[in-house]
Amino acid sequence: MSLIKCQNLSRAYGSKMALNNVDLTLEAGHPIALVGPNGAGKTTLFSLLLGYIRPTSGSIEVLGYAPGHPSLRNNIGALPQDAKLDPDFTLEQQLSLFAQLRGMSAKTAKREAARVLSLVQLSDALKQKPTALSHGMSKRVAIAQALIGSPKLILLDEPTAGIDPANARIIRELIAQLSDSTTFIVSSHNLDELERLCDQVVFLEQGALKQQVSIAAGNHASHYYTLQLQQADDQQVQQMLAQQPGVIKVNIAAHHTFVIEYQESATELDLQLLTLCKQQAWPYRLLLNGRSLEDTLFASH
Amino acid sequence: MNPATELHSSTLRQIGLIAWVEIRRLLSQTKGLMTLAAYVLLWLLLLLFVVRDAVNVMQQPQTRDMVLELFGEGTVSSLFNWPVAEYALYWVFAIMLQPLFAILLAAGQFADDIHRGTFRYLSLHCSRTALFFGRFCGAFAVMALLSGATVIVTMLMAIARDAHLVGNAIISGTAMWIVLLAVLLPYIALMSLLSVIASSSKQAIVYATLYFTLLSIVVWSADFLFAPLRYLDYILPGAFSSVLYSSTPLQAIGHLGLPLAQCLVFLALGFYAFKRSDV
Repeated sequence: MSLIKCQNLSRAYGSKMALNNVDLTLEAGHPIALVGPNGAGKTTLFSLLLGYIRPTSGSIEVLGYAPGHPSLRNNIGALPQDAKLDPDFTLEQQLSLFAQLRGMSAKTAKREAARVLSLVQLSDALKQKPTALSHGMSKRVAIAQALIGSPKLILLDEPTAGIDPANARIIRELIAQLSDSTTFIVSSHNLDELERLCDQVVFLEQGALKQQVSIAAGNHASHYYTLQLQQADDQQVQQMLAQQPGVIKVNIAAHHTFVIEYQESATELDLQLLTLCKQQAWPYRLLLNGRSLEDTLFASH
Repeated sequence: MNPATELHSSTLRQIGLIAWVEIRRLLSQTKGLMTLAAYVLLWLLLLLFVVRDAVNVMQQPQTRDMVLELFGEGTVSSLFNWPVAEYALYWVFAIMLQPLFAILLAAGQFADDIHRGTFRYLSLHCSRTALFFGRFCGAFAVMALLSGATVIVTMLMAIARDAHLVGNAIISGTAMWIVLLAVLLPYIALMSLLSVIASSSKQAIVYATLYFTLLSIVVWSADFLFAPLRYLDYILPGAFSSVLYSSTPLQAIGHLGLPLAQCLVFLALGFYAFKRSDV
């Protein structure tokens, strides 16, 4: 049974197609990234998977059930975008209610509320109301809410958007920590973050599925190094790198950043590159075995 | 236990939990307590300065004769048939004012929470069926508490005036409260429907105002326009309130079929709209 299976999935808002004929199959396991520019259809896809909205056409199965099916409820959690908790009740009251709605007794539900808040390092906020929280804290509470009942699948719609680096780090660490027992699907614009967290990447653009790649498999199968220098004449460096034995092609991916494609036989190219940096007095920032997610997605795009 | 039964009982539990939240919102939150205080104070004013004085007047034998002479046997004179005079007057005010409170208090069942996104959280943890009927039951329970409090105050006023009325006051007070709740049901159910369609509780109140005024105008002008339009009366909560004014609660039970049917229709429409709505 697939984690998620969408067939010919479309959703229109008036005359605008937010998702257009998407076929997508995802399997449980490592965290999955959902990327794409604004308006690509990421939130629409999440909303469809969670049953917030209904598809215009096509079918969806999540863990073998249609979205909103009662059997699915205890197996899925989510951080919805732009949703706010009830301002009248404390976090403990609301999280306990959610746990009780999932079938827990009042006593167990209180313990569960305390547990999930401690996971996001907000145990002290148990008695606070949502209006007393900062944006970053609200996001963490919303993630705590998604963890209630330890679901098999958790969808996080832009979990680190608009929050400070310290809070973003807490969230990333939590996802990494829980990903052995839970499959996360994370939507974000931060490709560096997704690269660190996720293996599979689903790329949406203008409502259509453009690419579905595995970062690990991609790096294994292809032969790339990414070299980033602190300062350099980019054109000159590109030329010199291209002259190295075994190098097929050098692209300037960004300012002072070069993606080097090489032949499989060039097994010592990394050492050659470091030697070249030393000879030419190029202060290097990093030498990465493979390509960044950004390069993987947009180079072939 | 088979899965269908398990699901059914779980939905019932969810409905109870969601309804309980609405009661707690009334009884433990500043906003809810302010609503409660405003409601109780308004009724206290009515009971102490209108009902009590009117009861004293009603106790005079010449008042009854004067009313019969002026209006004949009918709605007004039937007020003298009530065993507890306070209830006769409370009943008239309650039939007139409680539906307004029900409309105002039940307007916030869905619209604001859908707009704020709170239902996105709730719908992750419970079914839409439980959400819809839980909120409806919550609004109904709140009205039951508020109206129950005013019935108790009226009961105490009657007993304070004449201690011999205790038995009658408790029995007819309870009957009156139950009938009053049945009368309020279609108003709350209508607001469940309008609150799903509206984008805020204020807009739901505007929709309710339009619904009552436009439908009343259409029904009123049916004789000039198109006679069958007068049957639209049947989807207008409170359209037959005049019958209730001239009935005691026990007599009114015979007229509760329509409000209950209206309630079922509005709930069915509201549930259908809520099931299909985006949250």
